[in-house]
Amino acid sequence: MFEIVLNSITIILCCIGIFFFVVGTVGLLRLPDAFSRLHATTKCDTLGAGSILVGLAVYERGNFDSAKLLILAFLVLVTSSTTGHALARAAFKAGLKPWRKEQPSFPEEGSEGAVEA
Amino acid sequence: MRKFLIFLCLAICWVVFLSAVVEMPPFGDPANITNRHVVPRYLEEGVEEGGASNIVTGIILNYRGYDTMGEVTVIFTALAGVLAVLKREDVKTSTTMVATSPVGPSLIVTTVVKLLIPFIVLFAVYTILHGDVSPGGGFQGGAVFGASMIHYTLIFGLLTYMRKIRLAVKVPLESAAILSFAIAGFIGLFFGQKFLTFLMPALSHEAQYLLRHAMLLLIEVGIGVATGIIFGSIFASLEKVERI
Repeated sequence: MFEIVLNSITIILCCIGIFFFVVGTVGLLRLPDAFSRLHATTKCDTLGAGSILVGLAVYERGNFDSAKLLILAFLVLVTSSTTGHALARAAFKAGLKPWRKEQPSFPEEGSEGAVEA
Repeated sequence: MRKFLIFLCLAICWVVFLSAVVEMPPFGDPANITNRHVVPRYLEEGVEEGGASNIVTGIILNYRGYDTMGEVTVIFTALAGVLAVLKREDVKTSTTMVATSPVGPSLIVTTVVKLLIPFIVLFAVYTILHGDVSPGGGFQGGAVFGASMIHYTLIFGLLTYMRKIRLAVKVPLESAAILSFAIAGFIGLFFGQKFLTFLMPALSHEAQYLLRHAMLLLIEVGIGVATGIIFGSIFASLEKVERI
């Protein structure tokens, strides 16, 4: 019984991880500008890889390997969110304007190019 | 007509290459020529002769020591080339983008890098020292070590890096890899063997194994330190901006 519960926790956590990876990939391909794409892809690492690693740690039943997996999950959590922050900050400081649904009064080709850069 | 000629050429090539593939020995067959020549010797006596329980390390550093020594020289030459073109950084005249930029590094990134760098260096040391029992070794650990220094320089600027790792320390360490190889090679000569031969017939069996192990460790640490420092030096030369 206990085994079944633990295994279902693993499966649920891994499914959550896969869901976030899929959503993050879709977001990377579909969202309009760098900031929203970053927002989508950092979810892949933090929530996706994080919950898969935690699920595997549960699957290992709390032995030394699961401690390693938890440390890995912590590392991924810290580094990936920092990377996202650094990229977004650099893009913002470099003058990249966040995308808006209504383009400000002059909808030219130039604004599209600025967003792509 | 042209398309037909292209198709004909491709077809001829296809037939030739396909016949060559058919002639090839089956993949992974123990009866292959390549698997009968030196591989059994490596697998049976590599641990004993190589001095490392990881056979790959034994082959790289011992059986093919000349090759690895050449690789080490290549890295050293790369550094020499970079320095010949870009010159070394200097406390008086150089600065970095980090120091001159009006924005400055982010507090979050600085904190995380400060937190992680000890662990990165620890992992580098682990990789270097564990090269003879598990995957890893001098080059890989040295690359990790160099990456940690690059992180540090990117966040805290070139001046802090120059203050932490001084030229007087850096310059001798850059040649540590070639030096350790030369020392290990001349130990072989000392025992009346060829250069880089790790056989010492004058000593007992256990002493030989121990000495071989120590030499591999020396080479491994030398490669690791030198690779890391060279990475840092190349990066510092690329990163520096002349102060106006």
